[in-house]
Amino acid sequence: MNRIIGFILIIFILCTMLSGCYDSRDVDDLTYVIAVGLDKGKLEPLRLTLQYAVPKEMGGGGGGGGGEGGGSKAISTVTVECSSLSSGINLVNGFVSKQINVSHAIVAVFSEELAKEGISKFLYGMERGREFRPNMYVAVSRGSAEHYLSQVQPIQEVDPTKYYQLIFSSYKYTGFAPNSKLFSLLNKFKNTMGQPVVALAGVSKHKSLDDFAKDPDFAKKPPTTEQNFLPGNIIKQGDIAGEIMGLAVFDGDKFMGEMTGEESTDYLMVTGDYSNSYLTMPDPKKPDNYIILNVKQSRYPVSKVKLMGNTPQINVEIKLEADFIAIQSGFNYENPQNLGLVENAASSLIKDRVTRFLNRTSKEFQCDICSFGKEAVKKFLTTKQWNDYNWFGKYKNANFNVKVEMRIRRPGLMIRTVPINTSQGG
Amino acid sequence: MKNKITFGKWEAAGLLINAISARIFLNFPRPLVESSGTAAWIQMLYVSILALIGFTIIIKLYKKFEGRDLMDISDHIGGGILRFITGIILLVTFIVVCSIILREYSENMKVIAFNVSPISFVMLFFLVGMIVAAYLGMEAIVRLHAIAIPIITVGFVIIFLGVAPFYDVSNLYPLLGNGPKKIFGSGFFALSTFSPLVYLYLMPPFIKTHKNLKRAGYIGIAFSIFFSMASVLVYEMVFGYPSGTESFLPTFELARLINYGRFFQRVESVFMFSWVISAMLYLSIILYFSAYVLQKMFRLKFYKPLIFPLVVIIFCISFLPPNLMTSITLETKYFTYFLWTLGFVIPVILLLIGRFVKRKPEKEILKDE
Repeated sequence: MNRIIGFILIIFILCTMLSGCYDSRDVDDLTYVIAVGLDKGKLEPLRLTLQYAVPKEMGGGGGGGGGEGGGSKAISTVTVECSSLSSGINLVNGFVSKQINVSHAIVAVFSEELAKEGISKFLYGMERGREFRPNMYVAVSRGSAEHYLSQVQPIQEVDPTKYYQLIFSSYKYTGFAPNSKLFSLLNKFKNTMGQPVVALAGVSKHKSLDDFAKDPDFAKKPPTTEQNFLPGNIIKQGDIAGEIMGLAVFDGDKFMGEMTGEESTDYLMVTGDYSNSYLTMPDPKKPDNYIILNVKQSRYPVSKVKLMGNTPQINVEIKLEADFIAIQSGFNYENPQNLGLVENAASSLIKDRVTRFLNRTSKEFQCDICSFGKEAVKKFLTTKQWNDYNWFGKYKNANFNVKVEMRIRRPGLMIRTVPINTSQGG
Repeated sequence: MKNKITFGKWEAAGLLINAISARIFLNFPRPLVESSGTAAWIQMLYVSILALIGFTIIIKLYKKFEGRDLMDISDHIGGGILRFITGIILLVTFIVVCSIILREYSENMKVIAFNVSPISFVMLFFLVGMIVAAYLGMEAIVRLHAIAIPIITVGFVIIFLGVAPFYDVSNLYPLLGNGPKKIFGSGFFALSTFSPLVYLYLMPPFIKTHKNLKRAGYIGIAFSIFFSMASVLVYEMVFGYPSGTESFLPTFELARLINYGRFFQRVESVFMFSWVISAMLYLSIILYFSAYVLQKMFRLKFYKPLIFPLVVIIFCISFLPPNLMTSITLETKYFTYFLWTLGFVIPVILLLIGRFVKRKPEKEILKDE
């Protein structure tokens, strides 16, 4: 009998103490922030934009209809000027009915203007706080972060966080941006073997294609491949104005400059984060036409660093394989005897591109964003010796030797291209 | 009167594994990274070898004292005075360590989950668990270890495998980190990681045979080395140096990184579960052995009445450090310098002297619960 009474007593104590403890928070009493934008303030040091989910507009996505979650209605934004990230969140708590919670924040966007001055003071707050997740994405926006977030319209997703998750992981099949997570950014800020990059975000420069055609900057531009853009410059029109493309290069915590979507692909190929993407290349036989390949990384890239005094010699070996997606000229490249032409042309194209990209990182930005320091450090026995060598200081003198090996594996669904017959006789 | 409670080598080994490895859920392996930089794993390997050598020596010396713990051996050598001196050294250390560890666990809990709750409220849950375990006695504690260790291990393995995509072997370079002087010189004090071996030397009356004591020790040390090495290597490969010197709770930070798709993420809840079990068991061990040593010091008939006063003392001492940072500094910077003597120097001295002292064995001083 005593045991039963004891058991009931324990259950009673546990139920009352554990369910209603000081830290209990009802899900319904919280405002879940999904994106954070940080700009330089005009009246205060920081202009903070919080984009949060509106749960009542998000329901009805699954099961028996209800359709989409209401697109932009499913999210709302608020902007305040404040002295720091935490004080901004506290300010917003003062006028938003539910308590702000950033544990589901999936992206932090910094404006270029703010990033040029250094972003560590804001990131330290994110690192120390338990609510910000190390897996959240970080981006730098061309123009204001507030503008970028206001232009994001997750039309296809019921859950707005999914929009960011998908758009920031699209690099796996586009190669247009790096994998820019808070954890790796913070880690690279502090280490001595590589410098950080994050994704570059932007808002479409013009609303219609006609406006692009009228813009002299675009009218004079020669035709280019789909990769060679910076965000905002993609010639497009439609509902979605926000774009993710290219790299924001950092030296420590300071933004140094931007690189295009094409250079982002080169970055991924050199670092081994490349999965697959399309490559549009001029036809070796008929340069007015394009060959489109679906390129994959067949082997992890091998980097070797030789230290010759103050000049690091960096050898990079990239192994790729590809499938034909389109051959505009209709030339029979599928024939094994002609395959080598495309393989050599593609290898040479990528080799030139990667070499140009690496030289830009070294000579223009003087930032080892590909972390070649991880190879160089193996030549040193102690941390003191390595720090004394000052790798970042030497990287600007680096020489690169890039080797690219491309193998085409599959022709798609066509084994050959039969010429088109016309009244003029083919 | 002979001790009726006996348990096997697996239970004893389980207790030892948890006592040594519980710090993985606290600061470990950050102090090693602070000391040796990228070579923290070499430092861990070095102290592991030293621990194995030390234990081999101690266990050889122990052969003569089958079924007797350090208190019995002290009594055999120097009678009541030496028993009292040994007891007071062990008791004070246990109480202080228990207080600091209790404070750290509770503060950590507060930082990562209950940040509005008062610290005393968080501590209360640990204290209640400790009291219940100590009242139920040694048998309950070791049997619970035998059940809990596999569960804790699963949680541990999930975390370490879950962060596999973040492994970067180049984070282990430069190979010698902050230099051989730091690794093999001041790095020696990391031997304190194995100081919980002292609990094994208080267990012979329960384990009975020397063979089982030896096996329990080797099994416990081997598993602890495996967990500690895995923890150091994984932490270093993920965070590297100097970032690895920043994390307040290294294993928790690792758990926060795990993210597989939209479903398998935020697994630190698994970490919390393993962590709380491990913490509760570890604190229970210390509390039980504090009462056990006190009982033997004064040849008391019962140990249970000592539990509550000890808990009050532990609770009060745990509030002495003004903040969490002081508690961590006390544990990682000051205790490290002498805790290793508890697991290696004191037993060696007692056992060596004991080999040459020939005295008639005194009356059994251990009483049943």
